[in-house]
Amino acid sequence: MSPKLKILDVVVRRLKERKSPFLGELYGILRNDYLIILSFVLKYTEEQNESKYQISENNFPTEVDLYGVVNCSQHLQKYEKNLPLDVKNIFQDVVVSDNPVLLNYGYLEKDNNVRAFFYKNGTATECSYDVLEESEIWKLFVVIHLHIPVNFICCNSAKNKEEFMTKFTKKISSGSAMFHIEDSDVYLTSSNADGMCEDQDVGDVLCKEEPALSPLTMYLKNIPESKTPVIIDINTLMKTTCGKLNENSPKRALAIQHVTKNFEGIQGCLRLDSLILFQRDRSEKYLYNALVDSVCRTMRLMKRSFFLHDNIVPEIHHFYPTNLAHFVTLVYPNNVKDDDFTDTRKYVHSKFNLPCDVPLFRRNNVFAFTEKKISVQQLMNVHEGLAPSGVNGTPSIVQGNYLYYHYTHGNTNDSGWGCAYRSLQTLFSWYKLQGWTDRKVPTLTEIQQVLVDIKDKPKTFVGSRQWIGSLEVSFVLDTLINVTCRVLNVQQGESVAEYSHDLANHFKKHGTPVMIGGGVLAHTILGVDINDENDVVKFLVLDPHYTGPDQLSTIQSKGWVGWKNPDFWKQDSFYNLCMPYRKIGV
Amino acid sequence: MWKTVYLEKSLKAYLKTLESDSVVHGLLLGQNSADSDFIVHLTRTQIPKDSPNTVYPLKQISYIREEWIIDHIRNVIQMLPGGMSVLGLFFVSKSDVFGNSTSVNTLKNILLAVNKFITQNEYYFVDSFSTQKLVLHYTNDSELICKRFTSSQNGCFFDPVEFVIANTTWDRISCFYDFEHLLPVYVKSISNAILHDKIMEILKYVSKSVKESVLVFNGEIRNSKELIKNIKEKLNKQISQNISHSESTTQILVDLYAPCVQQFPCESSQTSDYMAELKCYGTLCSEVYMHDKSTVADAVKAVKEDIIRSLYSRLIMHCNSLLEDLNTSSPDETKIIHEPPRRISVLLPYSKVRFTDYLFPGEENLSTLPAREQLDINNIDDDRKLYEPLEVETDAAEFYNVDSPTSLVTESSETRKSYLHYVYSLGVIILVLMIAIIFQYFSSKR
Repeated sequence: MSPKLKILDVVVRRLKERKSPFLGELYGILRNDYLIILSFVLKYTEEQNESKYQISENNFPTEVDLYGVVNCSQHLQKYEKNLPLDVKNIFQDVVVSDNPVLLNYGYLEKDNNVRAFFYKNGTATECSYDVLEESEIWKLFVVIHLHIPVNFICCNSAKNKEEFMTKFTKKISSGSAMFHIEDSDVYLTSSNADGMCEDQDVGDVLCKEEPALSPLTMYLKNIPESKTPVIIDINTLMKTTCGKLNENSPKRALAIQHVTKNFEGIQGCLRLDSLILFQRDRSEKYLYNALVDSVCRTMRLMKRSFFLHDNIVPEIHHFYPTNLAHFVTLVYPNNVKDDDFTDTRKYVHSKFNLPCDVPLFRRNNVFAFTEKKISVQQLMNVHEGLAPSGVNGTPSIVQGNYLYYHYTHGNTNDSGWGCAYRSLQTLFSWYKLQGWTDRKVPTLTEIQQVLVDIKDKPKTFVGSRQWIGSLEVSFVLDTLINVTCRVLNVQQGESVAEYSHDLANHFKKHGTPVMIGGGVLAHTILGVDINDENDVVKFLVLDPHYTGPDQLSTIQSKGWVGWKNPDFWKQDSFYNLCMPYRKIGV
Repeated sequence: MWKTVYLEKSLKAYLKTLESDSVVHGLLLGQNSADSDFIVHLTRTQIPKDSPNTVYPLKQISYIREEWIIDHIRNVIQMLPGGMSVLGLFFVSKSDVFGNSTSVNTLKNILLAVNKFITQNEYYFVDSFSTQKLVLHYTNDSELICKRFTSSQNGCFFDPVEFVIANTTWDRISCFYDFEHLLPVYVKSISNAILHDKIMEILKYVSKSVKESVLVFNGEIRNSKELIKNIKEKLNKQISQNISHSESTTQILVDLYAPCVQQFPCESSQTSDYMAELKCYGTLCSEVYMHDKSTVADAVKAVKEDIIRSLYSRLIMHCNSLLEDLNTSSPDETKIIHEPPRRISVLLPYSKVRFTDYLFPGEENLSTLPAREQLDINNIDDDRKLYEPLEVETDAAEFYNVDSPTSLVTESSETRKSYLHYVYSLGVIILVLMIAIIFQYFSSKR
């Protein structure tokens, strides 16, 4: 029986956004009796990097595999018996299923529907499918994040390095690894995986004896359901003993071979981080095999990388672009700056049919596995979860992530003078979190130093408690990260509302937070909600004058972030708005 | 509640044989655990013949010198498998050792020195040393008195113990630590001192890795409170249910899994020019014995201690034997095989437990081994009965690569033997080849 089909809503959306023909590979994951299509990758792109960098199942979490083909053309193709050669070729690469899937979409068709087929016994049979929301995925699966620091020391030659990696992979494949779920008592050994017991005759009897509820099942049962990815960290241990004594080959005693020769050696550590999309109700055996498989996948990615040819350590990065709604793993060379491999990223964007105007695969775009812990110290996107403004208009708000900087953050006592600096830090954090810069968000003193360096302020400015305004904010952004800003002058506070459409356009086009300074106060505008019919407008304002602890509930309930009426801006003050332009590119 | 001290039955009879006019003293060897101590062996401490200011025969405890005891412990400790320790001291004398303040003070000083020695030797005693020590006194009228010595900030005390004479059942646990998983050590310049440091680096690494390891018993992670006895019973039960299994699977076998931790920087790889490489091969055969009330946690400690203690013992012996300076002037690539002594097990006369000694490569005369003297074993005459090899000698020829212009030197006492072995093997091959040619010649003629 063919499995039932479910397609992630993002996949359907991505397909429908496409207005030119393409052939793509479908990636999905099998769950019990149905298949979930998670993504597609274009088979051919216009980018020229094809041979150097490929996107394959190795770039997806383990368990996600190639399941078929998507064909997008002007009109729906008629598939009955004769499939095009290209499609057949991809079907041949589908190794995990006998019934590959074919998605067919005609972007000029009136009904605008994606049609699905299962290919079985040489015939494509149309089937119905369900569309699955992203949050549904996280009810069914957890993300296993496997960590293995692999120390290496060998002669500095491609052959030696390759041998080293092959040997390590073989060791893992042969069942020498034990995996441990962090902060738990769940350990997985090769005894958990059938047919992998090295010392079968010793251990197999015990292997079969499983308690009613295994530690892993208990552990997974206790993980609450979530709408976002739940990450389970797993560490690795390696076997350092060699099993039972074979009477026929007694153990040779320790010997140390001491070779004297002149040679060039290389030493370092590969961080072999890999991901697995793991079904919540699967067993130890399944997990052990998936973990081993994930190591092999990551090693294949690494091998393809630059490590073998230069003194470069490959770095593994996991991304979770919101417009893909799945993880993508890429390997970058450690000593090359983001700006020096823009072409590679362009190629990845084109493979996923993603627009090339917003960076998604810069180092700073990596999925924040640890940021959840960091966010305890610093809050991100604090406006999320607020009630609507109440004007029933069209809201235009900031696009992307930003951090909330406010008075006394980082133990700097800037109460009474640092609000514009804090607003600038929030603006800067937007560029950093969107991947545009590797630089740290500047401190208050660093901001002052920049203004001195560009000769905007005298040397005595550094360390002072002098205010800055919108112009200074734009200077600093321009100097540090080459960002152009539009500075808008508003003569009276009341007139800010007159510029609400300018602000709405800004948020639609650029999506960056806006700094507004006037009188003795500076704020950050995160959005605007306009109801033209009733001539009502409200501004989403982030207030940097907050001095309390980073507690989201307090910040939202006490109005440190919230929708404000136009009279929030004082009538007798004039205001300057610093509206940073977003950058275009990857 | 007092801790119970168990003494093997035949050891009481042995003590009787030691009765004499003078004071006989020695070490109590065995296993300690949270609520019991098990004495498995007694070894008399020899009084050095050239020791100055010694009054012979020893009539009083106060004549005993602490350095005799410490020297004896230093020699004996290498012979103890993990989990076994120096539990204290025994005395056979007419006079009561606890009877007068002079002998009690001597005892206290000696025991404090013993504790100091133990705490200073981290590779011999891994997380299992006890600062409590036993003192066993056998009076010539067959009375046994045992007390426990405790030193604390509040002073030193002798407390009574519950003393039981009974035979203990011991379970053997085996483990085979494989050195081939270790990364090679690269050396930028060569000298004996550097070599010594690098060998100690290997020890330090192994010690840390072993201490952090997770142990698996016959393929399963066990609860630390589970009794070893239960594991053994379970294995026996499985064997009786499944006759296809061989006898050897009743053996408790543990495997170690060491956490993967970052050793070198991840951010960048470093290239350097090196002059030499050290690479470890072979296996350390570990054997520990656990009393019948011991838990998985006790066994884990013992196995870890055994591996580290055995590696340390043999590396120290090897480094001490590295007398000649290394030849660093040769322009060609050279290979030296360092062969630290290998482990052999030593039968104990009054217990099922086996201790350890080390045999240097090429050493064939077992009578020269120090175990017989240091462990004071007199009632097993045949060396072949007393000693049983656990590991076999490295075959130096295995390291010889015919494709490389490397010359091979074996850094052991019997280089000649390896060479002869090689020539002998070559001779056998040529002989077989000749026979084959002759056979071929005659069969083709036919």
